[in-house]
Amino acid sequence: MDETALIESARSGDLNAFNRLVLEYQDMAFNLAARMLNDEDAAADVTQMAFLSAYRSLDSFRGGSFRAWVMRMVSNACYDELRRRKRRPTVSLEPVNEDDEEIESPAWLADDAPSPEDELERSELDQALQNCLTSLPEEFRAVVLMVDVEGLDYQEVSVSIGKPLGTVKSRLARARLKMRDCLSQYRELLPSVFRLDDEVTS
Amino acid sequence: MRAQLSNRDYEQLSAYLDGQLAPGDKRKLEERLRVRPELQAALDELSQTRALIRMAPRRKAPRNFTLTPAMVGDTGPSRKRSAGGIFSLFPALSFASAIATLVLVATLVFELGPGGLQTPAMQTQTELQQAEAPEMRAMEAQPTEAAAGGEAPSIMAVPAEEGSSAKAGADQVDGPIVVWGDPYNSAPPEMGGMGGGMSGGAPDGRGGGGGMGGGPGSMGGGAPDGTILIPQEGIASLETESAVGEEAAPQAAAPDPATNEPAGTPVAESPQQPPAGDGFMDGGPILGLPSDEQSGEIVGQSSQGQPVPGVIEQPPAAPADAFEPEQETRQDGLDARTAIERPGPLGLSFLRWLQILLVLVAISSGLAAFLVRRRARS
Repeated sequence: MDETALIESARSGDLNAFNRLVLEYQDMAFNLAARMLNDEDAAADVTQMAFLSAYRSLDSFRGGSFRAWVMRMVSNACYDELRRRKRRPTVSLEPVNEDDEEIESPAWLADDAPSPEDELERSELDQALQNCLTSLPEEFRAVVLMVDVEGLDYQEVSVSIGKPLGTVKSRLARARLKMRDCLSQYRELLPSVFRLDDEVTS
Repeated sequence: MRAQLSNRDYEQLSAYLDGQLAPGDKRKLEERLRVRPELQAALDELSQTRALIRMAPRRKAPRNFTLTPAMVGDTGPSRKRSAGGIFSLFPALSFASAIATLVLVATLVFELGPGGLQTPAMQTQTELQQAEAPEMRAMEAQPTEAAAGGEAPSIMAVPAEEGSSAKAGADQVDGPIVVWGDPYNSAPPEMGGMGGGMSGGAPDGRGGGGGMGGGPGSMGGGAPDGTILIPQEGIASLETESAVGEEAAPQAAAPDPATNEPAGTPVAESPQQPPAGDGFMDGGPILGLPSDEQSGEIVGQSSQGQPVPGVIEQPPAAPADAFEPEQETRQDGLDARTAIERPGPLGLSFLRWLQILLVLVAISSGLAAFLVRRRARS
């Protein structure tokens, strides 16, 4: 069953059809939420709420990119969580290892890197990137994540954030400039990262 | 050292990197990149940054986020569609509330408009004016005919059968007779019709509208205390009549040959006889302009029970401040307004009932729209 048929079935109350769509987009949704909030527990809650909200407001989907529509639900839920945090600031617990020592590079962020050294480099890169993303304003952060991390095109991002194309281009350019300036601070700390980078861009 | 480029340049470079530039803009940018090394360097930096961001590891979902029936409850899209009839009422309810509010404001503007709220005294005067309107129109027609005939009637004679209201009023008059101006020549334009009658009681006696009978403003012959106002020439006629007797009566009468008032009845006994010739020198009965000394002068007292021939009795005038010239222009509106504001059930006028109804509609529909909207969001 293709996506359009699943959506129509879900609209008529077929929960199983909707859950198939959830399975299709949950990784993307969770990744966006985790990068936006820099907190995986909060990201899980936000992702669940976003899908529940999406099911309840399925009638408001007027066609087009369903992926963009799901991203819109997730980003709105992330904004709500960030506003809630501002109203009630909480101290996030730093991850600790078995010896109750803080882990600078969270182990659960590790992916299927072939070697520990590569894994460490990727973890450090991930941490650097996450730090720079967190330093961005929320609206810039969402745009750069959608385009550069999730691979959405400008039109889909425009639908997701509810802004015109010109705004998307402007925010993306400014977000990349800020990321450039922020990541340049890590150049001295992580020179090997840029060796990796040279391999990618060359 | 980075080159100082504009935000516009960076936006174009960023869009160019993603292939989002229009063909024309893309061609122009490529030309600029060839001639400006700093632009190329900036493009390279943006490309590097984008590559780094793309290297960020993707975080997999720690669990499935599929929904259960318990999570969804009865708030699924199908249930919402079945209850959509309620949610679809929101536009109608909000529109109804807005319309009711606008109409309510319009009724308030109408009520508080140029006509303004009428005080009880003004309302009484309005009713009096309306009651006198038919008489006014009849009396206005008569001096017009006289003037067209080239004559200057001294007193407007009303046939007995037509002057029933006058006669009835005359029986009740017991007040001084005050000299007034010429109702035909000196009456100010604004004193015509109903309003003129009221303003005929100008203190200086020169309003002219207070002339007797058919002059415009003839209704104004009555002062607040019931004083009868007659034109100068009428006084002369009365004097002549009193001296000559019945011979003076036809002169005092209007050109209407049907008038057969007993002319022998003394109209009034003038306490003060004007000096002979003074009337001519000062305008006299022919010109109809009283002298300054005679204006406002009480020339006679009507005895109770003896109507003054041809004198149209005026009901007591309303307070002077009610006789504003603007009243004339509002007469038509007053008629309509009076009808609307006439007390109805429970002592409330139609307009008030309408306003109450509009308030109820606006509040109830607005509240219903709010509740529907709130339910839709929940």
